[in-house]
Amino acid sequence: MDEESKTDEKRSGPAAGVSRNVRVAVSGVSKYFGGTAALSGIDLEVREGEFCVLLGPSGCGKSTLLRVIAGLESPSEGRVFINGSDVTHTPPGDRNVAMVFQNYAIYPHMTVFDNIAFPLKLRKIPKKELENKVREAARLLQLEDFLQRKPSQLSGGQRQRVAMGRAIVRDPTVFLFDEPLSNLDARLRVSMRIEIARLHRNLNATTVYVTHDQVEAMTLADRIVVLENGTVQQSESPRELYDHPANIMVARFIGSPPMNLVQGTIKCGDGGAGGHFQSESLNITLPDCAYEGRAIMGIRPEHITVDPAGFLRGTVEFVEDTGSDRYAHVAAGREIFVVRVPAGTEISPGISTALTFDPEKLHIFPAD
Amino acid sequence: MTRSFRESLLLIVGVIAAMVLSLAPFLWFVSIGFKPQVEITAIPPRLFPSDVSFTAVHEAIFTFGLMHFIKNSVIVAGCTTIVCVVVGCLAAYPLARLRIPYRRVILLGILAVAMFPQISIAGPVWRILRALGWLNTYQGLIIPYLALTLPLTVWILANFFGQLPSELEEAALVDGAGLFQVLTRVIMPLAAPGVFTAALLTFIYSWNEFFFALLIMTERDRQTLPVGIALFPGEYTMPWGEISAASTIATIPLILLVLFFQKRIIAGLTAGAVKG
Repeated sequence: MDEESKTDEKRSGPAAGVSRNVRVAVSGVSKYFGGTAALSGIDLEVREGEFCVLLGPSGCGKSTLLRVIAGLESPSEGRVFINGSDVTHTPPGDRNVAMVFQNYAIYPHMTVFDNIAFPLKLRKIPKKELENKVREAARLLQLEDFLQRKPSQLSGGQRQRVAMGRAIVRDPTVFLFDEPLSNLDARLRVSMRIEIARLHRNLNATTVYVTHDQVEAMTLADRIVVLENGTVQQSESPRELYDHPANIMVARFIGSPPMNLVQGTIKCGDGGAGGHFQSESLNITLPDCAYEGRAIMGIRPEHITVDPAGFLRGTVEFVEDTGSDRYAHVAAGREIFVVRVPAGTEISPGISTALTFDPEKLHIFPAD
Repeated sequence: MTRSFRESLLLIVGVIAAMVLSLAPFLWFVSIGFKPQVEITAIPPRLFPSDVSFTAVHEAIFTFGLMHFIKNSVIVAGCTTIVCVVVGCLAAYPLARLRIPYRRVILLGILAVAMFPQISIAGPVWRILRALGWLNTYQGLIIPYLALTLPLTVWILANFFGQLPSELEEAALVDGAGLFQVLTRVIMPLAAPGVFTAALLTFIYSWNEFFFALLIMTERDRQTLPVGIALFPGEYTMPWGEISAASTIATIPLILLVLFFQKRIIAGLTAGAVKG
């Protein structure tokens, strides 16, 4: 560790300002493919030991950003720092990053042992040390019994574990995961997710993890960076992201079922205390008023309660039962609200009811 | 008759037709090569010799110097194949992977070169070689062969390389391999079926090529098998037995090569690399 920090100081060039425990820093990175911008002006810092998830819909630029960090794409603008040194023009192999790909990308002509040993062989690690490291990685990933097999003789989960073994055996500065679980079936995905979380805790490895699956992001991340159209929408802890989405895109994207959103207008009350949200079918009094004008109001399904005495009258259109939860779709005026109802509640399609919610739980987003 | 039965019958007929068409002449000269002298020109001809005779084989080897021609052919075909595959891999990899503008046009252009009729380039090639003093030299034959076989090799390899998932190369790059190591340690082993197919085609071509060999190698010392065998007949003799025996022997290396590489030319070598 001492050694490392010394080198950091020596190399401290353009990144001298950043604190020493920043492992990956991306500064003003843009990437254009032809005329279209896949990334525009991305700034990102990942601290030591942090599990940072890049989340967004497909085409949002999250994989491109990961590939820029890995060195598989070079940014059109901006710089990339790893361990404080500028690696913008360093080839991937010299960045000391390890990457796990969506479709495993393990070498089919090599045994599991040779696959895991490949990065070490390229670095000319002595045979004895190499063997110890490979066995240690195999032990961590429960691959000890498969070391002499070829990838074609392994299951999907085992192949992904081999890919992870190839990553951890190198002891890299940062682990990069590119949607590593999206090729696995649902059950395996859950168990591999837990395995990745456990591995991260054991190794305390700095990780950048790309996914479009918000459950993966919420459960694994210390911090989620939400991307859309090549820009960072919000970069926060999962809890903060869920409770305080920065904009309408994040509000729509995080949460399942998603937040209820209603378009309308906000008028602040006299004296600045409180205000009113007015839509075609709603009129809600707000506790405070930070914004005036056209707005979108959001409320999460679990923050609405079905209450015959509620202020919002509506009709139940249908009920979704997911086993642990039930979600009622209630039409009120021209809006449809999704409401989480306790499992025991008697509710069925067609009945008239009313909804209520605490205005404190509302999210207000300015509409353009 | 069920449809599948008719279809399989058609397939069987096809296979038999192909076998008879291509194997019959071959079997005929194998049979001639091992017939006793008197039976070669017997009328009516006999397909199976009454007695297996090695006289023609012996004559071909010791009187006509068959081994000498084989040596020349091994050198020419071997060098052509090795250089062709190495250069072909180096050319095909960037063509398969890099974002080169007009990549498709370049590949088609390369393939078009392979379509030139040999006769159209024979004159210039001969004059160039004479100017270089390379007539009757091994390189004088190897280089024209390379020019003729490289296009198809590059085409085959570029297509094989292009089919490999690019994540494998990227994984290798991240793992610390240089571009050359990616090519030799990941791409080429995985594209082995393509590499062996290209190598085999090149070898067979240069082993059998007659026209340029006849044109360039005028001295008996440097002549390759096809030319050597074609010049067996003397002014008054037509040694059918020896020609057939020599041709049979000349075919053996090719058959062995195909059998040996057949194991490598199997599809599905990339099974397990990525989720299919």
